Amino acid sequence: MMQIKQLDIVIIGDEDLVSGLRLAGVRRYYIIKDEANPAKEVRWALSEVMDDLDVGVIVILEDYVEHAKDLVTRVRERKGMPPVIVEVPSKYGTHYSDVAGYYKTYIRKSIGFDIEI
Amino acid sequence: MSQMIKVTRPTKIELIKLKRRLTLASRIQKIIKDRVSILILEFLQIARQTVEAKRRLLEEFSGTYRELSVAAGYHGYIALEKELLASESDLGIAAGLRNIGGVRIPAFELKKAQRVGMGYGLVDTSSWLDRTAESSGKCLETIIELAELQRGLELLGKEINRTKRILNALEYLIIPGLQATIKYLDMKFEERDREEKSRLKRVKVLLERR
Repeated sequence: MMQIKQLDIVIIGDEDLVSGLRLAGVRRYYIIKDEANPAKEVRWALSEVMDDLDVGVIVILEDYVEHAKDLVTRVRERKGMPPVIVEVPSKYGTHYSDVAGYYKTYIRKSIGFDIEI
Repeated sequence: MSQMIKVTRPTKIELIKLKRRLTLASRIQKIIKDRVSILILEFLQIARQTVEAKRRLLEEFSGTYRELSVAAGYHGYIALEKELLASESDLGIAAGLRNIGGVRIPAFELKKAQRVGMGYGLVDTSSWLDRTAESSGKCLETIIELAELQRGLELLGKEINRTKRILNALEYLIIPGLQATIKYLDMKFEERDREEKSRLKRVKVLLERR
């Protein structure tokens, strides 16, 4: 029997990202105010939501991931049904313009050989 | 030379047991091989979908940011904040589980709240805001889709790794070990036969001499 759970979406991002997704109807969000030095706020917000069982998807700005790499990896390695972290680009564009290349390294790591996508 | 499996006594019954284990091991190996290829097929399919979804996400986000900046410029940030507050809703995702090749993968679906229109007032807002809301809604859908695919990719990758390890253990350790042990036991029995034969001959000679 498949159980269906009702989960939340959480956004961690700058004002523009949060505004955009609030328009779509998201209610839980953390606005990072200190643009120049976001590490502390990002880590605090992420640790706040990563153990919350009601959170299904964490939307986080690409630029912030490097400040909390260990936390992100910890969530991804966890067993069971942890929240899924999705990285989205900022208003200045994306770091990963080469999407296929970004996933290629990941695929290589998990199945051991390269494939063309 | 592969490592032999330890046998307590070189007896026929031990040999029969080993042979049984060998057939079982090769049967399991075949099943697991099939499983790995199924998992890899699924993995590749999901990988392709993920890349496609990510590309779409990037595109949609650049569009949304552009529209948002126009809308913010038109309304001003303070007025926008009011509309934002109104547009927040009871949005959630329904999460279930999907089974792919024995791996349980979450399946997400966006559950929109019941509401009329977009939530904000239509009297003092522009069509820019409508457009922004529409495209950011699309962004959100893509995010959910990507989340599902990405998690599936991670889980399948882990499972493939695990199954491959079992397969390698069977292929390079357990099966050769069993084969080597069976060969050793066979040789041992042949040797014993030959010893027996020569002993009999010797006895025969001794008996005839008497």
